[in-house]
Amino acid sequence: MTTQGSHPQKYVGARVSRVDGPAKVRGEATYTAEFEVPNLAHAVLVSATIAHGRIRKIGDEAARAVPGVLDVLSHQTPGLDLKDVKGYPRGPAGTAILPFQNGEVLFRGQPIAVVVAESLEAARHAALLLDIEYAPDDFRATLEEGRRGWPFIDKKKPRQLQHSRGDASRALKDAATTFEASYDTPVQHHNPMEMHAVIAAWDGEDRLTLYEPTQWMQSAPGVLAQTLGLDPDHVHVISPFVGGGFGNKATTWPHLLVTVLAARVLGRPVKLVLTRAQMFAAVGYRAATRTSYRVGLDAGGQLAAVDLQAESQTGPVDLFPEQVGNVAKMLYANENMDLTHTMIRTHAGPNIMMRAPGEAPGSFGLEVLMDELAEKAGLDPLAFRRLNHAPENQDPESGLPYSSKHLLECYERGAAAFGWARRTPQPGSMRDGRTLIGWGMATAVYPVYTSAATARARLCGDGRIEIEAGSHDIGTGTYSILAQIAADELGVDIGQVGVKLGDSRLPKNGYSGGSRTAGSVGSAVQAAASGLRQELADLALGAPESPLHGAAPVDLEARDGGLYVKGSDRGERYTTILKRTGRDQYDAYRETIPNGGSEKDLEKLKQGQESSVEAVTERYARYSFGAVFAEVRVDPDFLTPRVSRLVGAFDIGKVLNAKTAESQLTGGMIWGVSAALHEVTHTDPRTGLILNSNLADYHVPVNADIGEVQAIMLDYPDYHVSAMGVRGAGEIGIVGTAAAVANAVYHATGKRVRETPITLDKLL
Amino acid sequence: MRPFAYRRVEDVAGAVGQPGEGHRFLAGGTTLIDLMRLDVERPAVVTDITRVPLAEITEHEGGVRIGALASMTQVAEHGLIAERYPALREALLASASQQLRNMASMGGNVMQRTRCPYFRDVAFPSCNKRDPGSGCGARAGHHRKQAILGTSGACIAEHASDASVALVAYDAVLTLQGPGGEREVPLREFNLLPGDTPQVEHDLREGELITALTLPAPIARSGVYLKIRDRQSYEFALSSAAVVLRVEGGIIGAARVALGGVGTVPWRSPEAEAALTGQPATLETFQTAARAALAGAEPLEENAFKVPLTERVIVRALMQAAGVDA
Amino acid sequence: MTHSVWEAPETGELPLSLTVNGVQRHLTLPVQASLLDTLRERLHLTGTKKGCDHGQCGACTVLVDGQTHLSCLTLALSCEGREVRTVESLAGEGGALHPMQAAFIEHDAFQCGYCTPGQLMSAVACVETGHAGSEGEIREFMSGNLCRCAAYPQIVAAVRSVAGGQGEQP
Repeated sequence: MTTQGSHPQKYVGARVSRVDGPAKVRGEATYTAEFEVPNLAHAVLVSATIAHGRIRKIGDEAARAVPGVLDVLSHQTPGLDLKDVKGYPRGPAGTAILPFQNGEVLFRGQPIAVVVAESLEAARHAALLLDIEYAPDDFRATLEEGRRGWPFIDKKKPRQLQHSRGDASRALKDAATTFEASYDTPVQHHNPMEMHAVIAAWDGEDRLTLYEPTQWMQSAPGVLAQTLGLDPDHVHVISPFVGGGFGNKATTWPHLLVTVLAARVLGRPVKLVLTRAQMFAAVGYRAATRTSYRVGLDAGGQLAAVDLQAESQTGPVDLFPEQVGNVAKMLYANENMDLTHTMIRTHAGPNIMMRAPGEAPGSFGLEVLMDELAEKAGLDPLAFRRLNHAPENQDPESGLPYSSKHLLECYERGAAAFGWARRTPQPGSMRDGRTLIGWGMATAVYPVYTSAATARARLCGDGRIEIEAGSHDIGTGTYSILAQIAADELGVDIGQVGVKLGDSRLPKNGYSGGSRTAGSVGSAVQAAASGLRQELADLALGAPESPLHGAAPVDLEARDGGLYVKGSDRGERYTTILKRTGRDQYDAYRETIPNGGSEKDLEKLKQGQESSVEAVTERYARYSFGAVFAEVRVDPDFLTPRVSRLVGAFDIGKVLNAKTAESQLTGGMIWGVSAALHEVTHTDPRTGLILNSNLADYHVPVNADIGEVQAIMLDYPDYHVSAMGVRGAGEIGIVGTAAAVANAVYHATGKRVRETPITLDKLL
Repeated sequence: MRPFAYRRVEDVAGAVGQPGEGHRFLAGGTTLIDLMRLDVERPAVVTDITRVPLAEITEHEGGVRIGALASMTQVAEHGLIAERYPALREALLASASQQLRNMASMGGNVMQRTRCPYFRDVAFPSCNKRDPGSGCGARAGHHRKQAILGTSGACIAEHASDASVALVAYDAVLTLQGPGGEREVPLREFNLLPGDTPQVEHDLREGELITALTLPAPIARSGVYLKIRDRQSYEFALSSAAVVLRVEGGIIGAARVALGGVGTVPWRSPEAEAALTGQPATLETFQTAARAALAGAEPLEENAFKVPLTERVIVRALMQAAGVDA
Repeated sequence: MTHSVWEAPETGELPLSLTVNGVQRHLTLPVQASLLDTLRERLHLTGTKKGCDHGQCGACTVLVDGQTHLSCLTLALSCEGREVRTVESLAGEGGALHPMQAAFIEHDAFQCGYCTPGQLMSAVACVETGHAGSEGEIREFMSGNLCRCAAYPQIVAAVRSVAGGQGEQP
């Protein structure tokens, strides 16, 4: 192999506009429900209207009588048997309860039937005509009800949820001051703008094409291998554009299996699109949590002991822990810690990861707590956090050094940009006319997750470069950053690079979640593109006809669509090298294993299993950090909190695309505003059903809710993560922001609200 | 959505005279199509009146006559409305979204149905408005947004329209065309309290079509609409007030006060108006009027906050209308 | 008295003629078909998106006779004879991007792209109807279009840049 030549970076790190932008603004980006498949039948899913019980019968005569109706399937239909999906995360959460296997209803909104018709209109009409009789049973639909003696309370303690160091109970007794408080976060729903959809088309009895919006190309093939015995390589998943995911599209849900079964029964392709209300039912949610703290401070205001009793809700049979204690374990220097996390089962369906699972709700409690403690210690909230800062060489949880930590600089730059020094400490002391102004801040942190990854780089006959990776762009900018990386590695114009994602036949990759895609898949693309460059260089250097014949490999640089000796015109275009080989294209395929990972991770990836290298390796604790500063304006009579200004400073490793990374961060910060002030899923106490399963009553911010938002990126590469130094930007923006807003509301009003969302009725 | 018989008419004569039961007019569609898709509305016959020429806005005896098919946008942007009925303009602009305001008609806005979730989701077994006799899900359930004024044991569903609040403050009168002729009904009387029959929402007779809304000359041109909501926009009111004050020499000569987000109907408050009339335009007077407006409120646990909130909304709106500083 | 009433046949598919992006279309469709489903499922104009089907998100925004409407709450049959414009009509001769489309790319006013066609239709209307005078006015006008990726600041920046000198701070 040739020694690495130089390749100046032109695109990586720059503000590059999204390469998929033109398709998206023209309305030409094809999302799942938009693929034209011949002879398509339309399916409408029917959901349970009880939270728990049994279906006595589903009468479908009237539905079948609707002109155009092709079939009605349910647990009453013979031949729809599915084998269980074993083990998380091969078939995570979503398929813990398989559809149509029996008449049991275990959660609100559970899919219980499907109507298939020639037209969408006929299917929707017929779905209204099903006559469903239930035998309802007792239910516990909320965390609160589950806590009050729900027989399934689960004290099983997954290892990662419990933590103990030092002697917290003793340190609490010895502390100069102690403080206790509980913090609550509600059920929230992802609500990507694109609803879940599936088109299933069988080719014979054992091959299947699936169009679905997914954050995990390998999930459906893995689930179908287990449930229907298909060869996963015979399941072709196509998902080039995903209209938002946020965790909700990182697993396979029952409606996919329903669509696959319907297509098999009917012997023709079937399309199913969930309704917005169904997006609140059987496609996951962020579980409600409570974190109850007992904290001791020493005389100097340093944390002496933290006892954290955490609770999170889960579904009726699956366990997805909302790891709300994660941040408290490691964010601040503290030698004495006890964390006990209890899971509580409910009839609310399987919960699942939602943007910064664990960290987002967990940081709300921890960072409001820190604000309360700062006040108790008589310190400025920022000064209090600096006082308790965990040093760069010692992660309080693992004792290991951090791979790269610039939190103090985040504090400094965020505070400077925000003007934090002008804050007056007394609540209610800052005003603009009559309007109350509140300034609050919080620390943000997010672990670095990475995966093994694979990619292919191809030189085409016309000189264009194709990049292939079975990964995903859920709005995160994957298409763009991969094009940037390849363009730089190969010295070509970015317009010459085409990136293919969202197809299960492309080189396999892990799910896009945990802010891992840029770093993990980016590394594989870098390896493939540089591999392609080096192989082409070898061909040129070895060819007597090439002007590069005999040149020293280290003297080469990739530029202008070819390879040249640095500082000279001696060289040739890639197309010339390709022509000489007699081939019409040339490929390089590469696999990468992230730092701290092993061959096993790659093997798992290739088998379609989760391949995740955790944040804490044998040598380093690897986290991204940030500091968020919020200004709220509150009318003194109506107590309507509005966020007028947000500044975040983030230490997220190398920034690949300053434009798209900044959007990721500001988008995440607005999610934090949303969590602080808007988002909550309401459950009816008498039926266990969701009351606001729509976008008018489930509030997310509208444009007018959002003021000025600034994200500062420190851009220190973290080479303990990967050669690219990338840590990811998708999730950390939300972490801390909800607490910063809550703390600002306290500063404006003097009212401490320990639950989200903070609405005016809690402040009046 | 269930299918229905579709009629498209070009004029009022073609529209009126349909049987009351099972028939709906389609104008902007922003309520009807929504509720039909939710299976709450199941009309057997839909008469599309979008082509009927009823969108004119004209000067009328010192006031204005608004064709029932004028869109919310059209009314909000009309010079006569901005000049004489600023609270109506503000209420319209604070409603829904630009797209919905472009679609929704004024007549349809008057007919807007409640946003109570127990009404809007047929999965809930209890709603006396949707299924008379089935009970009220909201009373024993989640009712943060529901009404505190004009409620009954059978129903606490809030009336969601902003525009109607301003319209009742301006003494709007509806013109109704039926097969037997035309009649006029004040909007205040057109909206019916739920009582024991929450399913009967309007004084609308079989075969009638709303053809116009007439606003008499306003008592003053200084109207204010103030709306408080969880989001800054695209959101129904938690509490709102439309107020119009005529102040002469510091004394309130006449007052109109109507409330939104708190009543089962657009809530005109004669109690507040009585407390204002003849009194000096001061903070104390406004506070007294606000308390009078809410004296009859019957809040439940989750919506009790609407009492103090609405008092403050009324006071602030009155201060703005009177030009009094806080 | 003369009046005109068209009573559709009780069953089967009904005829509809309308203009979509300048092209006359003659269709037959079920009585309850929405304009949105008609565009997406029958005309295969899938640029217009379905995000809620209840008028609560704005992803389905199109122009009907020049005004922004929500196509999900629009009964297709009520569009008889009307002119509908969708995102597919924004680009000009030879496919050149509309200035608002170019501004959305430049300002990164979208991430997943799903709400984008609806945002663009509203954004174009915002400038054309003179509602882009300040950031506050733009935010209010654009509030009927939800963006879950939360590109709101970038959307405002894009609209301001197209509105040009009009877009001063409130």
